[in-house]
Amino acid sequence: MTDNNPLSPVEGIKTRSKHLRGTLEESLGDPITGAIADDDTQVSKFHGIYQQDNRDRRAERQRQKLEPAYSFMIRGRLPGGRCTPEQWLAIEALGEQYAATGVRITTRQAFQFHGVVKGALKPTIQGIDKALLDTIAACGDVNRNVMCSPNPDLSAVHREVDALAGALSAHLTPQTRAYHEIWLDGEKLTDAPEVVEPIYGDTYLPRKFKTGFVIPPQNDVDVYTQDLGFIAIVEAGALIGFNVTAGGGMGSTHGDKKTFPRLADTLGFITPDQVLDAATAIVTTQRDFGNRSDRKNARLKYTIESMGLSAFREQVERRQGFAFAPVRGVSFTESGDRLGWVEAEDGVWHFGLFIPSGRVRDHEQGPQYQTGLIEIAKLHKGEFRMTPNQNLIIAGVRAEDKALVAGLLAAHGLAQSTSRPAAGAMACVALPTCALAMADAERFLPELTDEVTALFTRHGLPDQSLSMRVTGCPNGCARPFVAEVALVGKAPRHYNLYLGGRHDGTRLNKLYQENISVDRALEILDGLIAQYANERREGEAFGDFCIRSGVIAETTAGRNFHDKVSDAA
Amino acid sequence: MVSSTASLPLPGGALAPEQIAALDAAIAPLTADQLIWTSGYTAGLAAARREGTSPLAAPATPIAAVADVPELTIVYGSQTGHSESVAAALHQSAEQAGFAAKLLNMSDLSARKLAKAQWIALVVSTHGEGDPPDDAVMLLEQLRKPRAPKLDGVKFSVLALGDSSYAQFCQTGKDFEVALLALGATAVAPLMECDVDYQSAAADWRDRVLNDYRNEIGGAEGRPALQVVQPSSVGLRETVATVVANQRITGSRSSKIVHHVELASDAPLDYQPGDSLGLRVANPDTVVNAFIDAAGLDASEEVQLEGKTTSVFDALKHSLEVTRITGPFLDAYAKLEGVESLQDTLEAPEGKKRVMTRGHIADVLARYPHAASAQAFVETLRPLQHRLYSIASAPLETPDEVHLTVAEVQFEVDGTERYGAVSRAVVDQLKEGDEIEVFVEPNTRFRLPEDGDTDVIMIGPGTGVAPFRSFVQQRAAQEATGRHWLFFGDRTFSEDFLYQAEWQTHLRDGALTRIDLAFSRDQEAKVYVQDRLRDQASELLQWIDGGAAIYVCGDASAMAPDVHTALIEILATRHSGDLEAGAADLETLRRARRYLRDVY
Ligand code: SRM
Ligand SMILES: Cc1cc2nc3c(=O)[nH]c(=O)nc-3n(C[C@H](O)[C@H](O)[C@H](O)COP(=O)(O)OP(=O)(O)OC[C@H]3O[C@@H](n4cnc5c(N)ncnc54)[C@H](O)[C@@H]3O)c2cc1C
Ligand SMILES: Cc1cc2nc3c(=O)[nH]c(=O)nc-3n(C[C@H](O)[C@H](O)[C@H](O)COP(=O)(O)O)c2cc1C
Ligand code: SF4
Repeated sequence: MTDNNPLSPVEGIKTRSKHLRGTLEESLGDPITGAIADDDTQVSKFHGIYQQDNRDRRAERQRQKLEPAYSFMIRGRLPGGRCTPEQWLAIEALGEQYAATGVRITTRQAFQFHGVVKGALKPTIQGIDKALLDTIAACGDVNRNVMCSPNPDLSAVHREVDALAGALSAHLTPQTRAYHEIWLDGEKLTDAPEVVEPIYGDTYLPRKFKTGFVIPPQNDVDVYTQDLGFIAIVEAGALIGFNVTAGGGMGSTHGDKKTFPRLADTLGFITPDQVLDAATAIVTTQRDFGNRSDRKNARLKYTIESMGLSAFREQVERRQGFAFAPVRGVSFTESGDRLGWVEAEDGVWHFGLFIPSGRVRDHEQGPQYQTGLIEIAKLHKGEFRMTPNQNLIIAGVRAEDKALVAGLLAAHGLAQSTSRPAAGAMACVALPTCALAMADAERFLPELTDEVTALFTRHGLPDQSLSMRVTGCPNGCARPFVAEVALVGKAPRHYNLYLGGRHDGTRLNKLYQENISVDRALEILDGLIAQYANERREGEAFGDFCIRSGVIAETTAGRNFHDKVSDAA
Repeated sequence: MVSSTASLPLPGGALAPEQIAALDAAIAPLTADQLIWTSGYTAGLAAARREGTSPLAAPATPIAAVADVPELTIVYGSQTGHSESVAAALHQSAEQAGFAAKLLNMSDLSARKLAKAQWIALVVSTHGEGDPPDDAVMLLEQLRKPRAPKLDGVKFSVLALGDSSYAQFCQTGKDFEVALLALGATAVAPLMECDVDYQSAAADWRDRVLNDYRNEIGGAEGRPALQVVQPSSVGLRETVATVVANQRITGSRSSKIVHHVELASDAPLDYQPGDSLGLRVANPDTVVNAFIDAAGLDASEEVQLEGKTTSVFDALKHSLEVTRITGPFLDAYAKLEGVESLQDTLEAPEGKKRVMTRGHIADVLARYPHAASAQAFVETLRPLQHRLYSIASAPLETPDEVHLTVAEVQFEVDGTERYGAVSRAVVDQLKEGDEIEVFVEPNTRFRLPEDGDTDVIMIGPGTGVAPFRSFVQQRAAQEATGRHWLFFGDRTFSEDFLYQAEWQTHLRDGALTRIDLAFSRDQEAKVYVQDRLRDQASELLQWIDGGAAIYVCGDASAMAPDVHTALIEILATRHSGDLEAGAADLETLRRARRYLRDVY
């Protein structure tokens, strides 16, 4: 229930938007600027479109008496990150034609185009539509792309869970026809239905909302970072139901202790047939109880903090019409993806392809991600699955085709294995496109992983696995706060260093040092890795070691993320 | 015996009553100026008689002649005012000489009216590519019509202003001469061609005209020398300006380099929107060196220039025009040792034109190497010339600054990259704080409407937009109530939208009413401003009906003619598509100063 504080401006825009139409059509028609009207920049998000401008060129463009180099980021919606080879080729072609930097795979199993100019928005969206895909609700205050573990050895269970992810995604997709009218030239219905948005209502949710399905033991979706999580419970190779988690999130603001990353609480167990009802209940509870005046306090995690977990659970149970069953035991081995060839129970093969920061491009005399995948897509009979860690799985390769695919991978330099620290690392987009970035992330990651790999090698641990994540700001798009080592941008080449996350994504890390230079961070890591090399226990992960050895205090819950930070910080 | 009478002391009454009567009768028809002239004339006679020099006609004769002298009709066709100033100077001298002379702008003159003239002095420039200035278009057309009035007995003398760096040097002057001769008029003197440094040649021509004319009206020598009036010398008021800003304004990914240049000068440059600024700058090293390579010269070799000794390099950098090919240059160069083959090329039909329109002097040198001395070679080059740039600022907005929009000229000939001398110097070398020689080149033919509530339509793709930045700033400062509509075009929206941010502000605050854009390379099909004009035909006609004035600035070779055609077509829709009628309407607008062009 929103308190008496005034509604946030975005609420007003949503209300005025006539179910996400705003003045987008006028904005698209305005030839004087490459931008869209201010209010429309909020509305467009619900259509999967973000206005951005090339920050590297801002100052220069101002001197040139030119407006900022506006362009748009378009984000696809693919539940579980699945697409057919044909769809992949379509996405590739569109990226080639309209996106300045081609295709990029995100941390939520979707693809993004950057640098699409205003005039190219419509053709791009129409091309995506022709490929039987869309970008509806890829951003905005709604349920975002639904994640689902992409690489299960249990193919049968995966099919089931993935189907549920798809069903839930469809169930929570906004019903307004704005998208079809504006982008697909769909005819405008004169008599709009009484209730346009049965689940969301006219002003949608107070804030973004994220859902993920995970199939243990691999916590590839970092399920506890999601607003709503479903942890598959499998007995004797069959899916019997899910532990439901709620209230996870990464986003926070430097220096604002009222904001913090939070791991989800587990509400209880449900059976597969209860998934839609449970989800609907949780979404509508957030819709009605979430904070609509302060967007920094509007995510479900804060709603639960302010309501209290039991009150929240009651609300949900009342709305869904049944009580949660007792939580089932689960255990995760690690976060991140399983790379390379994996044989599934039914004898088909999956290849987990590591793609640095998800950029599907050909490196100069390096791996040919773009060409290689196009060639593979041309004869692959299975499907592609974008992973929650910006990688791609060539899924469902039949044994007899394995050699062929392997050959193509090798031919395009996509077969050699990456160093473990590199494989376990992830960075968000950040500069130059992200408006909120304070430092580089994606552009800085290769340098960082090279250095850190070198450090581990120097200290005799050449293939140490490590979850290391970099983001350009504390919004946490690469889910840094569950990583063992995280660098979060503060200023150009300056980061906050976080330590003590758990390798399986079940524990938050904590601030170790604030606003330090890259060199300083590497110095510190050098020392810690040396210490780890000498003092670690059998099979002890780096994150756990940092806590046991007292390097950093354990973060037991989001609300105390800011407590007991190292004095150095 | 003559001398004896001269020695007689004059009686109390200077003249006998009958003499006075005769004199009165003779001078009755004279104008004030003629009387003044006559006094000088008689004084001269007296002086001559005392010295008993040259046998003179009876005093009465010239005076009697004055009564029925043919009038001296001075007509001019001018685009940027040079011809006009020359013609005006001639008119002034003629009047001081006591001649009956009248000064006419060609656009106020029909062939029929011209046929009534007896003695014509005609000054005309050439524009576009051998085209007449707007003033002269109609008259020349009429004179060329089959049923044009005969001009038998009409005498004339033509002065053609031009620039020998254009293939069709002084073409319009030649065209007039041909037309007049064809109609039976007689040339008192052969056509006189002037290059950009026309001042002294023009002065000689004026003297000639006056003498020929004087002889015509039956006078002999020995008359009081006519004092020559210098034309109000356009383009000579050079001052030094300081560069206060020089910033590229095309995006870093643009295929073009266009700079915004801000100049300040202590002696405030007084100018009006529509004027241009003349820039005289040393040739950039890149251009000079490329030239030296092509010419196979030794940069340090010494040559004589206007009596001074300088190195080849300095001469080329500071004193000589090294890029634009001129006819005189080609003629002179072809005479040099080893360049004989060029002769033949030039003699071939259109040969000269072909050579002139293909790049720079360096390209000629590369193709026709010479074996002459450096001295002989540099003597074929003309002095360093200025270039004009439309002023992009408004006096009311920045009284003590002048802003320019300069596009770098860059092209390839036979795989060699060439740069425009002045534009390259500006974008590549001018630094803040540098001082350069500039002068205001007034353009009375490209002025904002007197009336602040007249609507203004501005068509200015590329750097053609420069004067319109000045227009809009000026009208905003004047709080003019008229509407302003800009048509702009260039290659790409994101990199080549010159002054985009400013136009956006002007649109927001209303100084600019609307803008229509044509970016040729943003889509498959090329779009240009003339296409946008057609798109907006009906709206345009409404503005025109409402009294709007149409301004066109920019490229003369392609854009201006295309826009011209588009406007004719649009106006023709009012006459069920009759293009003749459309053209007539446009001409009417032009005469009413509601269709003004400044194209280059
Ligand atoms: C592309 C992607 C990062 C990547 O490297 O892949 C991304 C990129 C951006 N995120 Fe994110 N987020 C992405 C996953 C995440 C995640 C991870 C996840 O969802 O599992 C998080 C942390 C989880 C969470 O939501 O708490 C995340 C938390 C944010 C936040 C902070 C939200 C908060 O509660 O404070 C913002 C800023 C905001 O919403 O105000 C944000 C905003 C943004 C924007 C749109 C910046 C903006 O609002 O202008 C970034 C666009 C950058 C660009 O140029 O592409 N992004 N963002 C990910 C797209 C996922 C997708 O396909 O939908
Ligand atoms: C009234 C007026 C206003 C003007 N306003 C502006 C203005 O606002 N902004 C602006 O940028 N310019 C303007 N100009 C043009 C400007 O005066 C110069 O002509 C221009 O800058 C080129 O001068 P330059 O010395 O750089 O090139 P030059 O050294 O004079 O070289 C130009 C010559 O190179 C040759 N050439 C050019 N292009 C090619 C080609 N593609 N292939 C082969 N040969 C070629 C031609 O012979 C041309 O004459 C204006 C001109 C006039 C008359
Ligand atoms: C855009 C432009 C085109 C010109 N074209 C020619 C030409 O084709 N032939 C020529 O001899 N002179 C040409 N000239 C030179 C002018 O005739 C010369 O500058 C003359 O002094 C202008 O006189 P005015 O001010 O009376 O028009 C051109 C000048 C300009 C500005
Ligand atoms: S974490 Fe911050 S910098 Fe990185 S993409 Fe997200 S919002 Fe941008």
